[in-house]
Order: sequence, then structure tokens, then C-alpha cells
Amino acid sequence: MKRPYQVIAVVLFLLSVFVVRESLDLTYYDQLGPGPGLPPFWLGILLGGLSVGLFYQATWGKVKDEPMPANFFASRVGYSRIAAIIVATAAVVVLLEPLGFRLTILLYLLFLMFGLGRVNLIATVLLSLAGSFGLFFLFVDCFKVVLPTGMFGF
Amino acid sequence: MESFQSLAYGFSVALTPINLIFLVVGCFVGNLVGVLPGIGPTVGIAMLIPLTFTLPPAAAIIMLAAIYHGSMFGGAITSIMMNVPGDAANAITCIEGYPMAKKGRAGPALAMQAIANFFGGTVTLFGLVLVALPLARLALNFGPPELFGLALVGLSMVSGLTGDSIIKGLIAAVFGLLVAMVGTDPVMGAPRFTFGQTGLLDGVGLVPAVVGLFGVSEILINIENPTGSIFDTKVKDLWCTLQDFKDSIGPGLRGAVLGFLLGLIPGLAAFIASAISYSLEKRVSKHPEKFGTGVIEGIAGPEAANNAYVNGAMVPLFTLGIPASATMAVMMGAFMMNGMAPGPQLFTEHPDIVWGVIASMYLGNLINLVLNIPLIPIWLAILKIPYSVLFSVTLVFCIIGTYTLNGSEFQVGTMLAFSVVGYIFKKFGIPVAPVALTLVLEPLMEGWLRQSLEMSQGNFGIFFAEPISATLIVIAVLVVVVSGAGTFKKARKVEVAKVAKEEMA
Repeated sequence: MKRPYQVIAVVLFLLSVFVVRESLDLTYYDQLGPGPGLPPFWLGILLGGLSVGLFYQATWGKVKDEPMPANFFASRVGYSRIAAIIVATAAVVVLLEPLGFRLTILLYLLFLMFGLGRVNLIATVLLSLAGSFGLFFLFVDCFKVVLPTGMFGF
Repeated sequence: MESFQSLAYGFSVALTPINLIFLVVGCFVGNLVGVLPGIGPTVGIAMLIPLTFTLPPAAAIIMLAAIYHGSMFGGAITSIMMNVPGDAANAITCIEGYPMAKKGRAGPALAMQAIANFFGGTVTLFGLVLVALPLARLALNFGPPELFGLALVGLSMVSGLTGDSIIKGLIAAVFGLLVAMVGTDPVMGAPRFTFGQTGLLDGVGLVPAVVGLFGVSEILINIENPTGSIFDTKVKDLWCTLQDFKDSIGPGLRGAVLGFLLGLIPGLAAFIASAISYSLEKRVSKHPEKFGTGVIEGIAGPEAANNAYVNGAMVPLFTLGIPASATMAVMMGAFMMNGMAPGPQLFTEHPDIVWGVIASMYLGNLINLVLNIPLIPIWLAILKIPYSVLFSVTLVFCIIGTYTLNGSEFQVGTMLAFSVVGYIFKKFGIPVAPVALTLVLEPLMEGWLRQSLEMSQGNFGIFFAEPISATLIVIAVLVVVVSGAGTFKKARKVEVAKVAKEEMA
């Protein structure tokens, strides 16, 4: 369990260096008291200290000998599922405005349920229509919540 | 007496048709949110905040509070039937609930969790009514140094007492504080860590961050090894025997008192209340050896404790404006987004809301009891839906909940980024609750720090000049030191045991 913790400690340390560096560009203190740079500066220092502590624990402390939990790393298939969800949701972020809520979510649900979840096709189509067009009707027409309508009018 | 008059006024608010309708909706949604593993009250409330913008503020907060209570009722169902808690607060119920279900006593276990939740929630509401007003009056005398000290205590508790490592807890808290600093600086109005992105000028939204950290990240973890349908147990005979009731009265009462008192302390999670209640019941039991094999006392105590905890946790939120847990932080966000600032002024500026919500909690417990038991077959039927359908629909609700906050796809992107952070944090055992709490507390803390230092012309001694703020800061430091020492001691013990084992070999 040593290596993953060392890696995360290094990542956090680099983040702390970045935070401290950025905070130096902000006002640290003015005549009225602390400026916007003071809190992130000290928090960056604190994060750096904590990441060193985590690295120490991982290398010489209690974490060193801890066995790797069975489910710490996913299988290749597991990671590909995670990546598929992340990419599909990122696509929603990009397509939501141009395609509109109904079309984007219809495609999203078709992909998640049929492509990823292997739900049978008829159930997928019905559920995707309910989850996109149905929810749009529920939220926009019943709850008066604004959801995007894209270039095709959906 | 004044409190009870105010409570009567609260009932007149809660019993208006619109508030009553949203109370029932909130209870139903809360039960559903509790039943579905991986969603929980924090995400459930966060997702539905945008829907409340079109509601009157009282109805909005009443509905969200009902979701919180309802989830406590619903969360135990999966603990008993599947050995999978709907929410962390119900994890302890697995220990006795699942063995009871395996012995064919799922019905009494399910009935008792609902009754215990009702009992814990109702009894301790008297405590909330009695404590809230005097404490709010006391808090009116608090200045920025005291409020800063109080927030520090909450922060230290949630970082120090969550998880098995003080370092991980503090990393989560510092990370949350840094994320909360993104946006326009509250003091000088300067952009901070925005990197030229206009979407970041308003800061990182609480709702997308919470939905990503708690909800979507859980889906990412579950999807690694998906199962088909997540439920496969049968229930018959949903009623308890007279002996079950006799065995449960004491544990229920003890759990209720304990849960309420622990809820008053900022930073302690509902899980801790139910865990302590369980260990107390085991200790005072005449047959502790039977614990773990399916005894009803092990359900009555913890379930009463976790619902009582919710009432206790409402006290610091209503009276001091300090959220006691991640869910309370989201509730606080909901108050703010509906144009109200939780804290002592709430009682004078919005008595209809605060007393209406408290009164609605009495009614909500009753509604939850009525809804929970008869609807158990429906909750179980929902659990038979394949996980790929459940997570897909949940993701769509997460997208709607975050997009509709301000009609921006940027919020959905933020949710996605935080779901990856949440996934990594959970893999490494870094708690995510402190991140949610600090996102809400940071702007307030920074404001109080600045105001305090303006009062003292830059002298940090102001925090130790008054006894209340000095005591609070000392408590915060002690919590961190004691938690750190505890972790160190535990690690040392493990090391010594290991060396001894090696020597023996």
C-alpha cells in the first residue's frame, strides 16, 4: 500500500506549492487586516506539511505495511466503465446547450443503459424516452424549471 | 413557555395545505433517497435545492428537512434486507438487522427501525424546542472572534473525528478550504484562483461539489464491479411481538437522548451517534453475547439515535449558523439560496420559517412512520431494478440538479470534476464530509477572521482576549491534538503487537 500513498502525497505537495505560488500574487495584508492572499498562503503551507506527513506515514509509518485492499485497484473492465461514464458525462457538458436537454439526455441514457449496462433494447428505449422527454416535461412544464432547448428545438 | 407558544405558531405554518403537501413529498423522497444505496440525504437534498427556488421559502425548507428525516427511516431498510446501508448513519443497523432478516424476522426488524426512528425523532424534538430559543439569544451576544472560534471547533471535530487518520481528515478540510477560496474574494472583491474563467468568479458551487463528491463518485466506485439486481430477500409478517417492544423501550430512550446530545456537537456524524448507542446497548445488556446474532435492541437504540441526532444537529444550525455535518452544510446552503442566513437572527427575522420547520418535523415523523411501513414492499420493489438503470437515472437527476442551479453547463462540469476527486479520496480513505463542511464555512470564517482583526487593528490576541473565543480555540486545538495522539497510540499498539507476534514465531 506504500506506493499509491506516496504518489498521492507528492501530488498534494505539488498542489500546495502551486497554491503558495499563486497566493504570493495576491495582497497578503493591508492597513485594515488580512488580504485575499493570507488564508491561501497559510493553507498552502499547511497542505504541504500534511502531504509530507502522509509521505512519511506511507514510507516509514503505519501505512507502509498495510496490505492493499482487495478492491483498491479496479479491473481493466472496471476502469473502462468508469472512463465511459466520465467521457459520456463530459459529452453532456459539451452537448447540453447545442443539442438541448432532451436529445442529449436521450443519447446519454441510451449509451449508459444499452451500451454500458446491457439492459434490453426495448426497455432502454422506453426508459430513455421517459428520462429525457418525460423529465423535460415534468421539470419544465410542471416545476417551471429552465432546461436548455437546442438548435433542433429539443 | 414562549418556546411552546412559538411552536404552536409553527404548527399553524406547517399545517397550511401547501406546506403539508411539500412535507409529504419530502418524506416520500427522503425514504426513497435513504433506500437507494449511495445517494443518502446529503446528495438527495443537494440535487433538489434548485427545485425549491420556485417554492415559498417555508415550503422549500420544510421539504428539504423532511428529506433528511425521511432518509433516516428509509436507510435502514437496505441495512436489514441486504446488509448494505442506504446511508452511513444506518450502517450499524446491519449488525443486528441482517441476521434478523436471515432468521426470518425481517418484518419485526423493519417495523422496529421505523418505530425507533419515530420515537427518537419525536421525543427529542422537545429538546430542540427547549434549547433553541435560549441558545439563539445567547448567540446574539457572540461577536466575530467567538463565531470564528465556534467554526474552528466544528472544523476540528469533523476533521479529527472522521476516518482513521487525523492527517487524512485535515487534508480533506484544508482541500475544502482551498476550494472554497476559488472565486471573488469576499473582502477586497479581487478574483482568486479563477484562472480567467468567468464561471469561477462566483466560486465553486456547493451543490455540484457535494453531488460529485458524495453521489457520482459512489456510482464510479460501484460501477467497477456492477451487480445485476441488488436485492433478493423476502419479507413476511411486518409486526413486532410484545416482547420486542419490551426489549426496545430502554434502548430507544437511551438512543434518543444520546443521539440528541451528540447532534449538538458540531462535527460528529450521525454514524457516530448510532455506533455509540449500539456499543452502549451491548454494554448494558444482560445477554451481550447475543449481540451480532440478530437482537432487536441493537436496532432500536441506533435507529432512535440517528434520527434524534438530526434534531440535535438542527440546534447549532438554527441558533449559531454552524452546520454540524455535511448534510447540515447543504441545508445551510439551501437556507442561503432561499435568501435566509441561519443563525440567531433567524428566530427574529424569519420566525415563520424556523418554527414552521420545527413543527413540520413533528408532523414529518408521523408521516414517515405511516409511509415507511406500508410502503416497504414498494421500496423493496425499487431495489429489484437493475443497477445499470438505477445509476443511469440517478446520473440524470444529478445533471438536472446541478444544471438548474444557474442554468449553466459549467456546473455540470464542476460536478464531474468533483466526482473524480471524490473517487480518489474514497479510494485512499480520505473523508469527503470535511470538504462539504468547509465549502460552507470558509467564506464565513474568512469574514469573521477579517472582522476580528479589523476590530483589533491586526492583533491576533483578540481571539484570546475574551473567555468564550479563547476556550473555543483551545477546544479546537485539543480535539486535533487528542485525535492525533489517539491515532498515534493505535498505530503504536499495532506495531507492538506485530513485533510481539514476530518474536513468538
